[in-house]
Amino acid sequence: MNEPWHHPSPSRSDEAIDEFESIFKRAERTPYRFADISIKSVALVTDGDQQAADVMMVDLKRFLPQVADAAEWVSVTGEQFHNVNELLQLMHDRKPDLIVTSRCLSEASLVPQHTLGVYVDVMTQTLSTPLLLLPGTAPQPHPLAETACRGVMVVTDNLAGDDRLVNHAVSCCDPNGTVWLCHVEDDLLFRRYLDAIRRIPQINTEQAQELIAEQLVAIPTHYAESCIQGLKEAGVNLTVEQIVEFGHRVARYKNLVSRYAVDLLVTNTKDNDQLAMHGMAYALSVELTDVAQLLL
Amino acid sequence: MSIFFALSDVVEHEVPVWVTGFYLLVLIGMVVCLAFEEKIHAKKSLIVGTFAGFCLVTETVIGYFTDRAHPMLPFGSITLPNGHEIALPIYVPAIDWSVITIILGASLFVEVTSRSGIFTWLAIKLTKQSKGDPWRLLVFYGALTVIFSAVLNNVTAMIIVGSLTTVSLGKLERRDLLLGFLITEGLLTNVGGLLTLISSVPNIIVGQAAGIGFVPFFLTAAPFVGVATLVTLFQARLTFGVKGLLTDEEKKVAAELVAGFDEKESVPSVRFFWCSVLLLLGFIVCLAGQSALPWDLDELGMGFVALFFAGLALWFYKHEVDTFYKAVDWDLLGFFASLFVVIYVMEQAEVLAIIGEGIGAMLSLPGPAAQASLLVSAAAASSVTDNIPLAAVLAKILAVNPLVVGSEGSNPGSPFWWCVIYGANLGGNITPIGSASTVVAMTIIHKNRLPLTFLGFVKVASAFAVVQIILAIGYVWITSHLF
Repeated sequence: MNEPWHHPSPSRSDEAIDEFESIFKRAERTPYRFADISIKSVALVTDGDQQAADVMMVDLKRFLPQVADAAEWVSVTGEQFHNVNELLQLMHDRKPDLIVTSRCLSEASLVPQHTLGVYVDVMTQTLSTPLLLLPGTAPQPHPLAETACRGVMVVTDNLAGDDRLVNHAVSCCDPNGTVWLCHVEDDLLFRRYLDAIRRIPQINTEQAQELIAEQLVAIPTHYAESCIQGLKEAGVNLTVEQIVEFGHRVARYKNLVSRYAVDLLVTNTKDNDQLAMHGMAYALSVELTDVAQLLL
Repeated sequence: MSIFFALSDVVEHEVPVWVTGFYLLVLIGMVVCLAFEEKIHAKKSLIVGTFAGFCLVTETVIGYFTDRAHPMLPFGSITLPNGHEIALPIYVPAIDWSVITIILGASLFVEVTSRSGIFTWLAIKLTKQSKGDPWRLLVFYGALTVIFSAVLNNVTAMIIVGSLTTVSLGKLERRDLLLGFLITEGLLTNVGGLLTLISSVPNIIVGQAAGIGFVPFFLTAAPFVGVATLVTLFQARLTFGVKGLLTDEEKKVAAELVAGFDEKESVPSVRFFWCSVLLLLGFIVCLAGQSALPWDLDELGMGFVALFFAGLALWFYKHEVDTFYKAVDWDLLGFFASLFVVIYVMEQAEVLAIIGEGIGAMLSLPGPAAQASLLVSAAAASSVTDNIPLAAVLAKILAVNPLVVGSEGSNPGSPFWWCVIYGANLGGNITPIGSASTVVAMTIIHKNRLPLTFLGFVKVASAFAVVQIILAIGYVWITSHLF
């Protein structure tokens, strides 16, 4: 086996070029751009009948008053679809801006646990429409907050540059509410890289740990600051707070949700590299069933 | 005038023709080795140091066996201006220490002040001012390259502006323009290197030999640098198709993208930043007014000014000055010191006299033809090898040529000095190995995986270099008639 002992050391100018590129890259910021998310049509998908759908719609309109006023609401009830393809076809035909539904649709007989159910699973994978997941499951629903949605938590492992996520969070939040912009760096992954760095004599481990951690925190922090500034300039007066930390992602988010008065979680589900739902989004959506979740 | 030049004015021994021929071959060998530095994989200081050692040993031995009563190397004590004698090894006074101290002091000073973020701050500020418009960006980066080359050095200027260009064009999603930008900046480093006496090593060497002061140098060079920069930028616009943004939407998006840069990020301490600004201004003012310093302080020379300001700046990092000592380019300093020794040996072997005869014939041509041929020859030589030995050899030769220095032995106003300065600097733009800054430009180009070969560079850059050299010939001719 060839050991990579003899890496050519970079020349003086190579080092200087790299140093200045790093300085300029560090000065680079990802600016937040505010966009008004206009939701003109909402489809409420339920496996119940029209009466149950109407009750849910009242709760929903109370929960999302900004959307309630502006959008046309339609309900898709259990008798309108009998399999996934039929439901997908209905959504293709109606082209809603937002789908509202519950976990484990039409799966009451299976006594489902720790799953989204086949309908939600396929919808998140195949439709680009944002999906609002109601608390609990279809067989065992949890009540929505009795007031308008006042606490929205954006959860992601890469906050910087995700304008869409922030704008959707803002669009769902009551003007007097709070949006928490959360970014959790996976500490297990970070420790694994550090273990590799510890084996490289050319890199000072302590310095690498400090500097890499500093930058991993700085990038989302700067973006969150840009969001606060951008929203202020756009005349959006709700409270925006940032939480950037290291830890085990799912455990941290569970902890954060229990610590703050969160009514809605907003997260990305699409992963460019795979058809299946983004790993962290899936874990959160099956574990945090007490809170409504907006899956983008 | 340095001890080096004072020592070497008179050669009192007879040198056999074969000895001169032998050392001429050694000189050619050294120049060839420097041209193939990358292939040899050895640093300049080692290459020239080896030649210096070889020259000293062989000339001593040859002198011993040919004419021991009058050895080629004048061993013995050095007589100081106050009559005292001091014993120094022959290779110590052979070195022009005024040049070495200027380079050492200036590089230390720049190394420390650049830690304040002053240069990166300015670079980012100008990027934001351009609002992301490619043509404005090229103009701003071109101006920045010229200013940094003048204040810092060509290599550092290329590294700073080249790195920023890579990052900013990447952010603007205009990597299609990167090659054109980097080539233009590489070419402008050698134009900016003409602006002041301390902007490039050939300027220091020729300026010291000619006795040109900081201010006269700047006043003579600045108009040419201004015109050459503008011409180069417009030529780049045509060659690389750099155009301004047309629609409001394009302008808005580009402006938002560059607005994302935070210039304050590169400033670690506001206090040190402003101190560095003051120090930099003080440094430039003291260099400019060095010859007018009172109480004989002018006698300490420009090298002392550079070292003095480096010392002041180091106080900001008093606990870690060794970091800056390590950052000094000792290879460059070793190269200069060795080069001066080689040239001294060549002078004693009358190699310079032989070359001087050829150059003397060139200088005897009618006025404009003499200037043009010297400038073009210097540029051609500088395009394939290091311009520092070239400048050092030519400065030595011109310093004793009556057509240059006249009957008084000193004529800072001679246009021939400027032919060497312009030729040695601008010749570096013809090939990628013609100057250290074009080598760095090529390094950045290859680092970004842009397709440009040696010949590709020559094909593109020589068109710029020819225009700049024609401009320089015209400018030297005009100024020789005006002043």
